[in-house]
Amino acid sequence: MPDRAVLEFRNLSFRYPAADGWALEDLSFALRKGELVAVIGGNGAGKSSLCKCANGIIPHSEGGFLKGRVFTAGLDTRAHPVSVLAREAGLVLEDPDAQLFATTVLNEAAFGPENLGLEPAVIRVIAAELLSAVGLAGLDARPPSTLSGGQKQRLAVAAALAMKAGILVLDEPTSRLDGEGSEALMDLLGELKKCRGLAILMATHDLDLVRRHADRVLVLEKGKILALDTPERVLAAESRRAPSFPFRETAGEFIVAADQRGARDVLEMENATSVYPGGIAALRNVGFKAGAGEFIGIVGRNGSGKTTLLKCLTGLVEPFPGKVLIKGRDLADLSPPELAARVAYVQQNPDLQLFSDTVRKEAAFGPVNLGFGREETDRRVRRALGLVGLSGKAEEHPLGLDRTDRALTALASAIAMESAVLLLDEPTCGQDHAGAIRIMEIIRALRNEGRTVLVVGHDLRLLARYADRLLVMDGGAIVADGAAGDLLSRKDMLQDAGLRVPHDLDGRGADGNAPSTRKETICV
Amino acid sequence: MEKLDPRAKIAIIVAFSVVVFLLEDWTTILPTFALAVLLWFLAGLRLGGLIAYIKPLRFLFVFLILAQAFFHPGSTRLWGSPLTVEGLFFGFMLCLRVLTLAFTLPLLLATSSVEEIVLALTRLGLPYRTAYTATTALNQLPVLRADIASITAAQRLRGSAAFGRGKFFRKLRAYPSLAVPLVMSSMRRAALMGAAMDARAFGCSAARTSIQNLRFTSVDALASVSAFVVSCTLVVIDRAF
Repeated sequence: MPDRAVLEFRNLSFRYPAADGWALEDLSFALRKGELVAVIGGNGAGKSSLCKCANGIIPHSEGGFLKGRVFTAGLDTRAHPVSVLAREAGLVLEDPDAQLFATTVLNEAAFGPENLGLEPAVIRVIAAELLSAVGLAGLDARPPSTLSGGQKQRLAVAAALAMKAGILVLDEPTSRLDGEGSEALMDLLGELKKCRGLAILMATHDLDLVRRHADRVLVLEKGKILALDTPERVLAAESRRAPSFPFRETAGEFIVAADQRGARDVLEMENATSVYPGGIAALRNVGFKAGAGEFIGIVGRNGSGKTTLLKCLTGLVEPFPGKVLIKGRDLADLSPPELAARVAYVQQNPDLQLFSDTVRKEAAFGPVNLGFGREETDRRVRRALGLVGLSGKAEEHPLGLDRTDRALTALASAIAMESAVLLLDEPTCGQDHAGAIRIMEIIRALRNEGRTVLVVGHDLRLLARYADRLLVMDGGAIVADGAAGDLLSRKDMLQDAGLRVPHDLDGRGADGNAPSTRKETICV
Repeated sequence: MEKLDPRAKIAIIVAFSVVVFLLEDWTTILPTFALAVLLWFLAGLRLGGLIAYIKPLRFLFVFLILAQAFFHPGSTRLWGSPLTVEGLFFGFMLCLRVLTLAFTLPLLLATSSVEEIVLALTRLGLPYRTAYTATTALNQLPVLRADIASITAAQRLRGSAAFGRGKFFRKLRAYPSLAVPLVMSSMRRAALMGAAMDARAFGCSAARTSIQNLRFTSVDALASVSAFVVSCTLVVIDRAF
């Protein structure tokens, strides 16, 4: 029975205890056996709340005001505890760190089936099978905390699949995966859908995946269902609905010749090598130069050394035996305040970088430390907050803001350092499309005023559009370095480096196939 | 040590903890301490780890010895000062007892995985939820340490000199700015982790199984019994003299 509904939402509304409005409002739809429904929508549209309703996390673990009914494999989620619903619906949460709590990869995969009381021998077979299916074979004994972000995300999926439920709910499962990793995951899900009739509900921002893998697409806006249809129709309708889509450049415009920029002497890395305690090289003889007013995107698969490269540029990791020069001065000779005045760094998780009680104080933290007086500090803070668009929220508590604004606060506090070099690690991770575009526009503005900006990212499409130049990393080395437009035509090289070439950019230059469909892919 | 069943390790640790408080004479305290150090090395732990481990306790030891030297009843004055030799000696023995405890307690965590300990505790009759919650808290310590490293790096790169060497008062002033993001992110993570555990059927009514191989072998029995016999012997010797 391919049409049987296994997960049904009936007039579901949900409001969080402290919130004024509904997170989900009068939502009705049914997920059928063997189909993949993608849920798309901006940050705060209700995607995560919807996911948590599917197996009773809402309302049992996260309380609030719930109206309507959810039936998971026929069970009313109000009347059954999460531990019972968990047999029917597996859930992969968005943050991979918080959902891994065992001491080894194997124990993590076994945790669910152990709770269900399966035979240990059976559990071992299931775990081994799934770990190899998600590409983690041989890592059984590793503590999950030592895995890369992408590996953690895949482990979380394996751990959920190990429950052998008929429904799988995933909240942005590919946000930290490289192109290769997301393709492999989607292939695995496709196979389970076909062979086991697995019903999949997947919240995502990745419209490329939606187009190719979803059977139906559910568009959420402010907690309401805006559309529920095939990917083609939904994506076409979305692009008509949002004609003011922020990608405004024409195809030729995003290739900015690097030599038009300032001299290449602001940042220089020579021979940088870094070895993990285990003896695995994170960086191998990496060298490049960057000039003033250059926006460089750094891409590559999970674990290719991108973050280590940034950390080398901040002095957090030593580039032994190589060196890093900033305007001709060796980084190793700079005192911490001298370094902070030259290089600003925004780490992946904004929450670990926000420690003041207002957004204004957060942005002022750096300038005050650098010894600037009140006037200069105020000027810098005003400028930084204005640039990121947070002037109106200057007196709010940073940790009380939504996700996009928290990321922007962290960015503003780095901008206020007014350093020559700005390093950003995955600034758009977990951002919806509008948030990601906003951040890219800010970076472009900084580039235009002459800063050197290096951005690590997974979204090749986005970086290719905004960056002047791309560094492609693989196995701890830079395998390609050039203008974004040139590199995009080297499809084989990009694929070897584990990157997924977005299909609308795909082939540009190779066959001159100007993508007429581009507008459709870039909506929401 | 690593091959022992956690239950045997718990037996050994309990034996040590009880004995250390019953012993009064240096002739028995000293061998007990030596035994604890021996166990530390048998567990495959390194000397460096041992030193790093007891270093933060050094002020406590100085305090214990001095306090005893001042207040312990004794007649042999040290160079006419109010300190007594008996007190110094007693203080020193007290430190050895604390050290003995300090060496034996981490042995369980260092040589068994959290999952094994949880299973052992449930086999000993503790409810699964209780055993799991207690041990998982310990398991989260490395995560906290990583968070602290991220936060201090972020502050240093924004020109804060608070977390360099020395500079005690500057550090003290900077602690709130470390604590706020640490506590907030930990709370956020704890809530998420609870949801993630529920989603994987934590505490569902079926009898929980485990892929850990825990077997209380004759070696384990022997180890537990010898721990008991050795402790009894030590106490008897201590009381006899």
